Amino acid sequence: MATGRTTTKWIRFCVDAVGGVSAEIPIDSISPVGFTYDETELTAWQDAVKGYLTNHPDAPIDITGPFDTSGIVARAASANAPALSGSHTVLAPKSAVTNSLPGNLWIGFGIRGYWTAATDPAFGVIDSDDVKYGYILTKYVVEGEKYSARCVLTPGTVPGWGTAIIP
Amino acid sequence: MATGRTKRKFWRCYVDGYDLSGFGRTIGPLAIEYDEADLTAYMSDSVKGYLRNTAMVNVGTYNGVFDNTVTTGLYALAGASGVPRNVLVAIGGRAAPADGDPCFGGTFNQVGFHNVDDGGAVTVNIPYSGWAGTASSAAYNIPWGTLLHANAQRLVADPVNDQPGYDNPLGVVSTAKGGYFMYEVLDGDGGDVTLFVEDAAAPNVDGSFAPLGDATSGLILADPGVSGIVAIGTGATVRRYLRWQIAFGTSVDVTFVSAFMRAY
Repeated sequence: MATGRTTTKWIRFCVDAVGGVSAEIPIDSISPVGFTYDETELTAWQDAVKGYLTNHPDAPIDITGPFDTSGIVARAASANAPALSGSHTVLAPKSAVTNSLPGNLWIGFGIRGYWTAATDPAFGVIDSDDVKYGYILTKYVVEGEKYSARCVLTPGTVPGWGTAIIP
Repeated sequence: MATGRTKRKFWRCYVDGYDLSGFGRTIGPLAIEYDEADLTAYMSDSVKGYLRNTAMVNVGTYNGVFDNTVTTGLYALAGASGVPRNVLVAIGGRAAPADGDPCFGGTFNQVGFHNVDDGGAVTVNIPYSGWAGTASSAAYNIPWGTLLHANAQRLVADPVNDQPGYDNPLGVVSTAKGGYFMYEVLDGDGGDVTLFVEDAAAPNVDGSFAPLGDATSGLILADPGVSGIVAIGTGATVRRYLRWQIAFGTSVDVTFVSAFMRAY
């Protein structure tokens, strides 16, 4: 366990493949992770400075990475090196019109080492019911050697920060 | 076929029964993107939530080298715009595409044929606008699939495929959401032939395979410029392993590419 600063090489990204297997896929960029709140401006003319209230937060996740057709393997356990599945193998079936079920999505931030449960931070949904609640894929695009994808929350889902991994 | 990462030089592009790879430089982005319907109940939900609405599927823009050779040049093969095209993009795994590699395909409207300058070179952009509306797209649920037969010649002297098939990437026993079959005939002797798909449960051996429902071209000419796309219905069962198959009619020589897009 370490605390303090870290770098992107220690970030892990997992999603549920169709069928529910938790798969870690290669990424080379990720959108800002966490909540972004709508701001409602409530300034009156008489106020000295502008004032706001926060409204509903949103937490979409956009990623890019190398197109990869490797098979699906079980993700690595805490404190282990990543075990990567193929990005295409995981994401293409999820993109099917006939597959609109949500699932888990997890981003682990290892602190200058392999992500370690109970100490290192993580964000996402790790208790999806695979029916109504979780992240759903709304974009899968391949261009050249890279892919890009986007996941959004289904209604009623509340992601969060923590230190646990997908069960 | 090899799994893992790859690069653009191993992509191939087939359009309406012609191999446009010889002129091709790029094609893409290969996209499936959904409208996101905001269904947040603002009085009760604590975070915004969405559901998918209609998907946009598109093969992007083909960029190639301009060539006006009669019959076989890019202008002759793809100069007409405003028409739907059967486009199949095969992605080879660090080598030319082989049986079992991934592919992206469908029927897309060609909305232009634009000569453009690229540093002094005269090249062509062929943009596609998305899935053609000439027929219902209801049975075409995923543009990604498996290349069952890479670009190769088949002769009547070796009439059937008795090889094992290709596994469902998810390894599940079967799916029950249908899919669609695509074929592009690139050359032949002008006789007739039937191309189709076979599926099998385990074990993945020749004796396990049987024709997959409606996934057949029917009797077609073994001629360049012949292509097709055949949906098998959204509730159709597709067993774990898939392979290409052929039944020669009067033809004895055909070169083709075929693929199956399994829905999940």
